[in-house]
Amino acid sequence: MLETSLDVLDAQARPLSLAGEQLLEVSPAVADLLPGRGLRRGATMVVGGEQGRGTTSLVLGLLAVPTATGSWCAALGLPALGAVAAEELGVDLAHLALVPAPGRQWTSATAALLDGLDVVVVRPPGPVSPSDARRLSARARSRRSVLVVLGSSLAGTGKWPGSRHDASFGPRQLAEAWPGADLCLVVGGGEWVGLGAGFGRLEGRRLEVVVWGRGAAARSSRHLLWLPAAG
Amino acid sequence: MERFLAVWCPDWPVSISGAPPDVPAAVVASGRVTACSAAARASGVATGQRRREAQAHCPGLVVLRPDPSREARLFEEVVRAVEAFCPEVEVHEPGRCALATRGPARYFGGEQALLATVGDAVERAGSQLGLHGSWWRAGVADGLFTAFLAAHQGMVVPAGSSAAFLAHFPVEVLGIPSLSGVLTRLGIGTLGQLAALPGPLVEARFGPEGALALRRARGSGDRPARRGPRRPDLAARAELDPPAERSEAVAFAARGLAEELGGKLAGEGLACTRLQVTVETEHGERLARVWCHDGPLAPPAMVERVRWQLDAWLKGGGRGDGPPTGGITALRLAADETMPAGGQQLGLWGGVAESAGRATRVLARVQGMLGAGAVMAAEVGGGRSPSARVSVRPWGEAPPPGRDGPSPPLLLRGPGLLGGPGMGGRLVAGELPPWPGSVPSPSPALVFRPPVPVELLDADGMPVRVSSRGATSGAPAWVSEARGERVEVVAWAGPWVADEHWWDPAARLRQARLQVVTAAGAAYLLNWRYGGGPAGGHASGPASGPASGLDGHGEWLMEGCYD
Repeated sequence: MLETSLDVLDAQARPLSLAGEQLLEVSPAVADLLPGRGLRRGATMVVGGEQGRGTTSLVLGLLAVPTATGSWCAALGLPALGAVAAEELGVDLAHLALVPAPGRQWTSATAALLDGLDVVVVRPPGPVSPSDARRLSARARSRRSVLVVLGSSLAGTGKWPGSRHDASFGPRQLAEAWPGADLCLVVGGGEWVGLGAGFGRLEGRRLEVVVWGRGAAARSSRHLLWLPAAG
Repeated sequence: MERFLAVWCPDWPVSISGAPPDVPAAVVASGRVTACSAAARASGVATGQRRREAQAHCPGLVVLRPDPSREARLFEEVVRAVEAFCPEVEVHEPGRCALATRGPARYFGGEQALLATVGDAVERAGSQLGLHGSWWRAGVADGLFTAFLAAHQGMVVPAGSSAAFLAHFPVEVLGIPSLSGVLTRLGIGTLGQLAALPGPLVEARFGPEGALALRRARGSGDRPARRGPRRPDLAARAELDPPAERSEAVAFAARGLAEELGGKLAGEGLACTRLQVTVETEHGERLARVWCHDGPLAPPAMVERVRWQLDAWLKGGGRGDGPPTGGITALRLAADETMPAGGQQLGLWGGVAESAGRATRVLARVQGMLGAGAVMAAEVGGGRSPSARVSVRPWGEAPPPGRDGPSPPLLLRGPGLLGGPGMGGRLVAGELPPWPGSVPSPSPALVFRPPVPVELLDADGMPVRVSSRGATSGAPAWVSEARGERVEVVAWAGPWVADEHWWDPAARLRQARLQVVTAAGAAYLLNWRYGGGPAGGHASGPASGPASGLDGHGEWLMEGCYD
């Protein structure tokens, strides 16, 4: 009987962050990318990459464990987000609010959401002024929520990726586009496995992610991970 | 002891459904029967049974879907008829309403006369709605509980003789199933036996529920005999500027008001049992209605009642006053009667309830900023395409009632596709039938709505078509957006052919899906729609109509990107 009441207490206390580190737990597949192996509360993370490289899947993979353990998340400015893909990657849709078309007031909507939610994913519709970026990052820091920004090279509107791969595009360019970013990830490379010439089906992809950040991750590092993850 | 006239319409949801009275019919919500007609009851159908059980009792049962807003709207006509005799009619739920008889009885010369007059008015209102036969009953007695039982018998119970009247009723009529089960097992079968028990002992054994049951059984009613003066501060009011024309906007404002009122009540440790909703328009018309409930009314239940009242008023009709002429400018919720609330003890460090409350408030604020439909929740069900499987609704709205039983498991896979290398996500063993023609997971992370037209060419530069048997005319080699840049295709698979609604020529949708990987490493889900595109409009004959695409016409659409 003591065990069951402790279990109940544990389940109730779960969405709270750890007393020491203030980290939001993420699934083991993507934990290697993040310093501290979790989403640090108050941090701003910018994820970039061309369309089709895997940025959306990576972000959904980051949201999987937080939504499943009770943290509240929102996604702004992503009208083409695939809910079935989110469900398959482990996201609990009951804890994910979608704001597909925030319009011109996206900065105030993001700021309002950062007040009460734990993770806010936003795709700005165009270039962002440095003051707006700094203000949103400061808001995330003071409210201890995580802000994830999808870089402006990502298009959710059916645009083809350029057939030339821009080799000079890297995480430092993202950090310049969003001053105040604590961590920048660029998703690139990646080969799909499973399709042949007229047979098979898409099974999984190996993503190459370059991570650059302030402080603990000051040097860029390159990671490989499978998405969908193995187990 | 205040006397009430209660009007009770047994099986109101079934009566207004339009089914003839001799046909057995039942309303089924989430797999259980909530109301059934007299003919169904004669065959053995009872409320609370599962649908299959009810159909086993009565194979010819007509199964109806619940429609609470229509029930409330049509019951409003009956309430208006009763309102002519007394300004304050309490509505408990669609099908039950009551009014205090002191004033009206004196005016009409006795309670029997009042009963007859109210009965005539209700009958007239019902015949306008198309209801015939004995669809309503009315009765007069001391206290609400006894009055509804008197309505069951259709009689007037003289003042003071409630205890004698109630003595032979079984304990199930109390409406507290947990208690009545225990009482029956203890050998207390009728209300008379319960009333004979000593009060303090019943309360000590069964708690406040037992005390309520004892009061009801003795005919003392479940309300204090004299209502104290109403507290004016237990109310919340909102002005709507600009005036709202549609009930959704007012319901959205009602949500905030209901939370405010709920907060005030919770601060005093009370919960509302009787709610007065007043709606005003810009031309000064007012509609006030009193809603009662057996237990405490939580804020979502308050919003539901506001919505019912508005639906009934805005859709208008009925005798005399029709729909309002202007928009709605003010909404007021007042808690007329309260009861001590149980309340919830929040954990010391916040925990689940607090973060959920905070998130709900923030999302409601963003809804106020951008519009109620701007913040959405998604739910995944069954289907063939990634867009067909998703249903979205505005955040905060209750999901629509399920058809039969719980909704299907969220992740569906066809047989033979379970497992595989590197597959993650949640696996559900195929309990439900598979969806033939659906593309296996993983699903595209970006789903374009509407799909983007593209061109797919083979190595010779000819457009790729999919035949009626599902074979491609050539191996795809180049793909491009309409008049855009060409990208090389390095791998492809498919097509997965899906023929939906083949029984309905107008709604028939034949599609074939293809997965392609481009040289840039991106993967896309392409969709060949048979019969679509500019050349698909010509009908060469009845067999190959424009929608069938059997003549080889169709168009390619990009449905999603596996980002």
